Amino acid sequence: MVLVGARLAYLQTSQHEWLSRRARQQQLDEELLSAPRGLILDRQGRELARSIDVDSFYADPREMEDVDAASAALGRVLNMDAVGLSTKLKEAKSARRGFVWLARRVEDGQAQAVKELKLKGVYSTEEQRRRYPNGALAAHVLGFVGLDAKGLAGVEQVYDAALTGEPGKRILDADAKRRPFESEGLDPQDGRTLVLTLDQTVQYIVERELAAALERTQAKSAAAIVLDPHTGEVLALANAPSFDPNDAAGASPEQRRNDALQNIYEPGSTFKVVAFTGALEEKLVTPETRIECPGSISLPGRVVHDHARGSLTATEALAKSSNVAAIKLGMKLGNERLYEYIRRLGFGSKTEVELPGETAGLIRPVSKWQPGSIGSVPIGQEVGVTPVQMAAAYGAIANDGVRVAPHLVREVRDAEGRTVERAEPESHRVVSAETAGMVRHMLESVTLNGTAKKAQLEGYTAAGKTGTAQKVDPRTHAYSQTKYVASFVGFAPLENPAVVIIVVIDEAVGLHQGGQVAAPVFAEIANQVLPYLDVMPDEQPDAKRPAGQLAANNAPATVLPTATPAGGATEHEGVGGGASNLPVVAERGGGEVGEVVYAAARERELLMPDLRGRSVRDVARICSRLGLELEARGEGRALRQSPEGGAALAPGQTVRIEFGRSD
Amino acid sequence: MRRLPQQYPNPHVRRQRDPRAARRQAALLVGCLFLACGFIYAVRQQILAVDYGYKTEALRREREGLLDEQRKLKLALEESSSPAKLEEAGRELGMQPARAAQIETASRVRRGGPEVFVGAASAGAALRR
Repeated sequence: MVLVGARLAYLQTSQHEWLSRRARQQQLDEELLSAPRGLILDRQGRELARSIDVDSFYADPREMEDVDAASAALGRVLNMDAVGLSTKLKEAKSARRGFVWLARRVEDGQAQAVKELKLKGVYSTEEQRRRYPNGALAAHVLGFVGLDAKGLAGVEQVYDAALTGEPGKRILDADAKRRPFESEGLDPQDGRTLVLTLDQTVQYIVERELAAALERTQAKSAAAIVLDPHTGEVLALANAPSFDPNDAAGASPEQRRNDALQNIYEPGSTFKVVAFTGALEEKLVTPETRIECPGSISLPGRVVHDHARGSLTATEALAKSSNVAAIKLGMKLGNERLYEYIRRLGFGSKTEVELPGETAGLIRPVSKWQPGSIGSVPIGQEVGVTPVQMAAAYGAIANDGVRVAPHLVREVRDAEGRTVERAEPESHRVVSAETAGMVRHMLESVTLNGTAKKAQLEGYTAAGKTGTAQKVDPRTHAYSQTKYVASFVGFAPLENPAVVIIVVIDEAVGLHQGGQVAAPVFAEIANQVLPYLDVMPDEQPDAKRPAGQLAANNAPATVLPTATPAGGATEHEGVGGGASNLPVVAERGGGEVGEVVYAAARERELLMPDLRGRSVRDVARICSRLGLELEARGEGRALRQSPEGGAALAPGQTVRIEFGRSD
Repeated sequence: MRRLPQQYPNPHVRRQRDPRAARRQAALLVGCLFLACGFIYAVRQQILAVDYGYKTEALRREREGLLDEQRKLKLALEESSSPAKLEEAGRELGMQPARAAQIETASRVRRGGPEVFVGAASAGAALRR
């Protein structure tokens, strides 16, 4: 008894601390709880990125009896090189290392298969895996994370701190069999949720059309942005080629490159809007002011040629993308004022859109301009811009002269769903609303009569500007004769633009003009995006609407439009698969009824519509839809036409319309 | 010298019953019984607590597993409703993206024979007929 008592006293006094520690080690278990990385949502709340728990496998080679057999089995299940794995495990075993990663973040099916092998010395642990449910969609915006779940690109990188949660810790009381029966500790704090301004569907449309354009033009790359000019919200930002952020390691640097804000390019004619806007704002010209365009202009050190000739109004000069007119307006403004308008529209500085690697472009201060720079800068040479800068500048024109900084993140929410941060984009007036309105209408003429007829939309008015810039050959340091950047930047509808869209196509093979390769992509995107955004068509199929346009939208090559004189019932015939059962009757407010009947017609045949009484805009649009070349004379309403209505036409045939004032 | 007798008969002593002793014993017994019950109760409570601990931990793990499953299901839902998948499914059903011409800008009016659409003609609506 004395001995027992003495032993007890000894253990309770001198051995107390050590024994207590040992008991705690036996009874307590510590569990680290990883915090889920925050969600990334689009503007409609649809998930663009989410983290899930998956298994990672590791081995203790010291416990493995038959390394070769285990390696063969693991290699088969995990699609790994069994020989390489075996070598790695044997080396670790001989070095008496107790930990070797086998595979990290394994898919559920594979993980289950590994577990079913029940290999000795093979263990699993849970790790988080970032998943992007839409695959490559918005890859350049979202970015991706590394193996340690740290953001390495896109908003994943910029908002890494907010998206990363606080890990938790749990202390477990466990029994002899290590089964926990009590626990206490800190729960993990989920990462914050990022709500982007992107719209998943708009992004999809843009990426699809961009990929199609890349395939069609065999271009090196392409980029497009869709922007809401009133809020500065980026609805879509896409680059092609793209990559799947679920497998970012397999993507090349070219695929990962975000050209929409990292690619500095010489904008060419899309930049002419700066000189025209500046000249209008300074009241140096009006849209009707005539500018003499002799076909070339001599500048210090060079002669700039122009394809537009004659005495053109400022509107016509912009529509025809006259170099001489733009240079003359730039000269009227002078270096200082031209530079001021360049900077006012946001060129030469970062837009601060929430993505890494944005460049500010290349705008030299006036002090570094050459004597001949005034002949280059107004036509978009000697300057470098990014697509996002260009979109924001046209956004200012579309938004009545107020430039709203483009941004991608709408709000940040905490784990409980409370908004902790909301986007407050900077906005400021760059030109008057009156000037912006004039420029908008001048830009509409580009799509109606100018270089961007292929940017015309179905049911919506559109405005914009094409650009075709020669690239500088890095070997010769001179403008290349074969490499071009084709672009189109525009907005729609004209009076209250819902979207600004820029399309930039780099090094298209074959056709390389902005109006040929970029403008159709703009039209394809806008034709799908505007109805999706519930933007009401601003061109109704009433008496002003081109004959047979509805059918022409779907099958332009097989439309047979005929029309009775304005004021009476208008009858059209359409063709094509399925078009025969599309009876549509349109009524207008005044009780005047226009009846449009679509019926099957002979394939590939085209009849001349009766265009008399229609405006220049309507005639231009009808001819563009039907693939006819228009030769227009005069202004006002169509008075005479050749061929006459109902005459058979060949695709691409030239039609002559004489316009005038009937009064 | 006085000698004591060899044998003395013991007087027959009858001890008087002490009622307090019986009460003490009863109280002791009741106390012990109470303590034993308390001990058994405490042990039972402890066992129940440990048992509930096991259950709580199992439920906690089950909850974590279910939350994990929920996250995976949400991901699967997003994957299956991605625009690319929806377009693929839509095209299989013979549908195509909406165009401007398919937007009805005013209410439909039926007058006599054929349907009349006020405002923009709606090819989509016509198709639905």
